[in-house]
Amino acid sequence: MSDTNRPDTRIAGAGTVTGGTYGEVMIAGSGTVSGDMDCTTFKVGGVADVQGTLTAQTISVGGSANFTGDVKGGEVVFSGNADVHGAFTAETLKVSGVARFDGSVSAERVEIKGTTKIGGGCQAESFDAQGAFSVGGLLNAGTVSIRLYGGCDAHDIGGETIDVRLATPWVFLPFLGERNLTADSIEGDTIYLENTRAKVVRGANVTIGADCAIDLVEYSGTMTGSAGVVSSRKVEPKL
Amino acid sequence: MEPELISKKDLLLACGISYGQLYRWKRKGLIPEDWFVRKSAFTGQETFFPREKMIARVERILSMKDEDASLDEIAEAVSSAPLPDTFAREDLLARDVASATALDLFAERHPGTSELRFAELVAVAVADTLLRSGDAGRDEALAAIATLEEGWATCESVGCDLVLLRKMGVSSVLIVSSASELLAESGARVVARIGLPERIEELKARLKS
Repeated sequence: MSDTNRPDTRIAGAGTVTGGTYGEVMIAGSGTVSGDMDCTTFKVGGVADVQGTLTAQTISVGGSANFTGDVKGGEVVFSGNADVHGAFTAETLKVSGVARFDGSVSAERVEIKGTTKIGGGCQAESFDAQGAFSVGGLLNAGTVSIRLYGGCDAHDIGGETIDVRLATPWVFLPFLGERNLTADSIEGDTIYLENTRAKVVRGANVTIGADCAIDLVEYSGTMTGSAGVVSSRKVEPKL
Repeated sequence: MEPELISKKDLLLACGISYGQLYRWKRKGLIPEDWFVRKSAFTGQETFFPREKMIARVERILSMKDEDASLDEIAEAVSSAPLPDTFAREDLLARDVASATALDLFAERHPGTSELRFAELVAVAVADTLLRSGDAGRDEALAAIATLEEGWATCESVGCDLVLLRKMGVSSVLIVSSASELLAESGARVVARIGLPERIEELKARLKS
């Protein structure tokens, strides 16, 4: 249903839409959005170049999209190829294709099944990765769950529950390459790590699983497993 | 003058909080970004905080949590974001939030305005502090108000200080981020440096009471 204040628009061939307020925006061919756009739904099946900021309740990119400015969305699904040059905020972000963010990412829930590169920091209440990702800044999430299918790295990771495990793929995938997580520091309350390279891991209860290389573990509660840990110490509260 | 720092680890031990709590508070905006100071240590980079401010903030958050406030409510109370309402001159005078002298300066700049927005109120309150302490003259206080009104967008997003600089009787007003050090040419003197985030919080606490 189109409403007069929020007209729908559709580019099927090649074309340009000026910025403004819209209802459903569909780019099936090759389209450019010139200026800031506020719409209910933004869908890209073809190739889109958004030259401005985009605000939308739902955003889905199945084709390829380039966003020069900030992106603010409710439900965002990137199943194709997406480049975001500004800051990104959303309720939920799902990536099953390839997504690159030059700036920071902030969302309630982040689900990564494809490949994602974030230049800045990433914050979420839950961060669930089953693909390859790279976070240039701090990955800060209440629950960090990482299943390693490829190489993953973050400058630092902080949160309540951090769980990193080697994934067990259904089929043998020879092109996966190195499957591990690299970070400078990992800090949280409950931490479980496999295949992780880190300089320092700090937490209340830390479990070190298989194939880790960690310089220092500091824990205030319990530490389970120590293979691959150079040194560890229990931190006692000062009274 | 650099404030005394406390490492993240020592902070957690001193306040009895966990990493998870600290990261949650950071996500919710309860702790300003620029309080996280990265310094190199033997384990690589470590995070430090301005000791006094940070411990005070953690204690405030914990005490509000004891009163069953939600994190969003706490964020609202401690954040540097402006209040939406405007404030009447008479009300401010009656509650002694700002002096008549400072409010008169504002009226001179905006003739006919008797309702102040929060940003303007912060500017007036800072000018008031400068006047009361005798650090600034009338024109300097007026310049401070003008600078804060114009630079409000910056002050709101980054923790900033207002600096009054004077050399041979000529003064300038600057806004600098709170974490930055200031080196002035010889002969120039920093007459006053007022931390805005603290003033904003103080004002909010006062306006809410």
